[in-house]
Amino acid sequence: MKEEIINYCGNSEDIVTRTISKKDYVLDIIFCETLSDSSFINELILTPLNINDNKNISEVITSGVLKEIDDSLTAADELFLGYTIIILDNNKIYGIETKKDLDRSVSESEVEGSISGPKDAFLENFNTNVGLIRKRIRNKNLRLRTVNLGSESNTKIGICYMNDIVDNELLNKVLEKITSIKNDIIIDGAYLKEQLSLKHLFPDVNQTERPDLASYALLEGKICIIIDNSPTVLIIPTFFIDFFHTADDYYQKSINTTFIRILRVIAFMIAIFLPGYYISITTHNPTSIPTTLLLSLINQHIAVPFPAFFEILLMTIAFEILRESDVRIPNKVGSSASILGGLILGDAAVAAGIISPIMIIVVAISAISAFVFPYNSIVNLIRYYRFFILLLGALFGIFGLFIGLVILISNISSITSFGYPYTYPFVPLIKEDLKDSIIKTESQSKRNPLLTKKRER
Amino acid sequence: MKKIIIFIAVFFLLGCSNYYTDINNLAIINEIAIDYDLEYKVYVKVLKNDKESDIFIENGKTLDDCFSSLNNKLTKKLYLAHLDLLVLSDNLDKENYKDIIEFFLSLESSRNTFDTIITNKITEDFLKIDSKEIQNLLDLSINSNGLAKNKSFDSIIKDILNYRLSYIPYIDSENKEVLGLKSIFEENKLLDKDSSITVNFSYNLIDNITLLIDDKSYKLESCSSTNLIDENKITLKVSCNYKGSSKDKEIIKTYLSDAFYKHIKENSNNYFFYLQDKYGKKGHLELLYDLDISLMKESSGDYFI
Repeated sequence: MKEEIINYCGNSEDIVTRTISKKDYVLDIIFCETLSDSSFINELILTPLNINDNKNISEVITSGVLKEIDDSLTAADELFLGYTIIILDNNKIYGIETKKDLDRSVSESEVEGSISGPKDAFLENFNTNVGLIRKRIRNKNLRLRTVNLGSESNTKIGICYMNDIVDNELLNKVLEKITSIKNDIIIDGAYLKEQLSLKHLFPDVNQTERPDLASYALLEGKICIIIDNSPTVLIIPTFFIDFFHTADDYYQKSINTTFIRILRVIAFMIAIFLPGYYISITTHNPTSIPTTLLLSLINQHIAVPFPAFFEILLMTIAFEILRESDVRIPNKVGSSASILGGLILGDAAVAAGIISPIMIIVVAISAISAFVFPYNSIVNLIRYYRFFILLLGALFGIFGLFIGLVILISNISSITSFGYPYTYPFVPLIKEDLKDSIIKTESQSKRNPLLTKKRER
Repeated sequence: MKKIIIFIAVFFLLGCSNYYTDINNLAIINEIAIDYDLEYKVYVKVLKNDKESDIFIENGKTLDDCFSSLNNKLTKKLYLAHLDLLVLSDNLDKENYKDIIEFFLSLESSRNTFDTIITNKITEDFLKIDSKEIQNLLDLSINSNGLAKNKSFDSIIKDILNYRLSYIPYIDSENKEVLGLKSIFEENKLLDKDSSITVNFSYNLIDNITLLIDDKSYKLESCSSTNLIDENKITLKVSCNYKGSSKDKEIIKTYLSDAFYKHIKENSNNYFFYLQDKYGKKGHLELLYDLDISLMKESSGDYFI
């Protein structure tokens, strides 16, 4: 039996075996040294066995998780989950959990930072992530259903919801969609997110690494998907306005939150439309520029050999490359790369007459405006629309910008997230929930009227 | 279906892409002066930056000829949307005005909101004066002696279309002094100072004015004028605040009455068109002018005229 298990494991070199011969019986102990904690093995298995000759293993070993295993194949699988396998007289198999803690400790969120809110963030550990939510919602109605997805990775997926708030129709839809996923591997939430999203640019499944935001979402009536080995939790359904909300919104005065949210809306428009607007007014509608400013722009642009459209396209692409390299580059050289890319190259490009200073200002303001949003999915959307509007502005001027705006609005309006309108709470207008849209007012309940209405009905 | 709509939309919209011009390919024209002596002579001030500009002079049978040759010389697109001032020579006649209006109306980039003045002699030096200085000169004039106010090209076109005449500020190019208004199109004459003041009063352009009567100045404030029409009787009513004695008020009243009657007598046909159009009267209108200038005591020292 011992050989059988080792063979199943492909004679892997990190599989350790040990045989202990007692007066009445023989024990074979097998464990994976890279997944099991040797101190646990000593403390929970070897020490009790040394001082006790009782053949009844379940009485000797006092570990919390001890199970009897039926066959060698299951035993081999359990080995890779961090279990230590004990074979009694080459007949009976026991599995004792001696999993090594390979996870980092709970730390601060790096992407969704907060000034005054809680600092803990989700980890790659499923149980810790569930615990971080349960810590905030100590309520029997917080339910968790688990499924295993990925034929090869066998990843544990948790569907978390508030039983007394969630819309059952939504819950069934989510469960049905998740169980229908047939991927062979689910390594991170992003794999699942892509499967759950519709095929368009707009993000209709949000993700967060903050347990407080996940808890808020649950109390609204949304569903959180927790994925083992993923530090982010998926939130379903997601509305367009959700991307204008951040964690800090709930830890400061409502008036400040309202101000910041209005600022985010302005930043969203600037991030998408500014390069297109600049190119349209300078190449098609210079009439709208005051004479002094127009002369200043001409003088800045006069030494540049490229057309304005090519110039701004070059700058925008250069910025995207810089941004991508900044993400990939190790932290220790990151700052020098930023200085080299941002300051030296930018300054040199102006001095060399390749780019006009105003173009750098336009691209920089547009880029900085996009950084207001902590969610990468909305930043990607801004990026694509920025190029699209830029092209429309260069082709058709201000008229092109209006076409772009109409396309943007019609696209947002035509999307649903798991059957719910993406433009909620504006279209359809739900006055009750306008209190936490752009304008935030004090409210006692987080419940989302749109999501809970169906349930009440 | 969606693809067909997109194709049709793009097909029609592609026409807009022809308007793409980089700003460094624009010649920003700030001032234009037009003179005529057997052929047109056009002075064009092209801005280089805030402080510097170039002045180009072109001759041609038509205005189009002048601007075409300028276009060739500059190798840039002439951009008139930022035109601030149009200076016209006082020797232009009705046909020249027709040409000028036609030319500017046909220009795609011209906004026609620029100020227009007439001067006795167009020189390069005169064009070197900043357009803002000319505008300030006119602002100062209307608020001091009431002779002339800024006049936009748009309002000139409107005047000509409605009344077949327009009054344009006249500036002496040598002394940089506002002389009054010049009536153009049907007639071509420079109005005297009293008539210029009368016209500005009748158009309700004067707010404050200092009248110079027999070497003594009289300051009138918060002036307003209205035209009243009752069947075939037209009344021009002017009211102003004046701080002074009753004797002074009588002098002002007499002076203004004389100026109004003199101007109405000399230019009655113009008022007819103006008021007939304003009050929508059709057919023949018998004109009886009754200038109602009344003197009212508002408080100690303050009076209405």
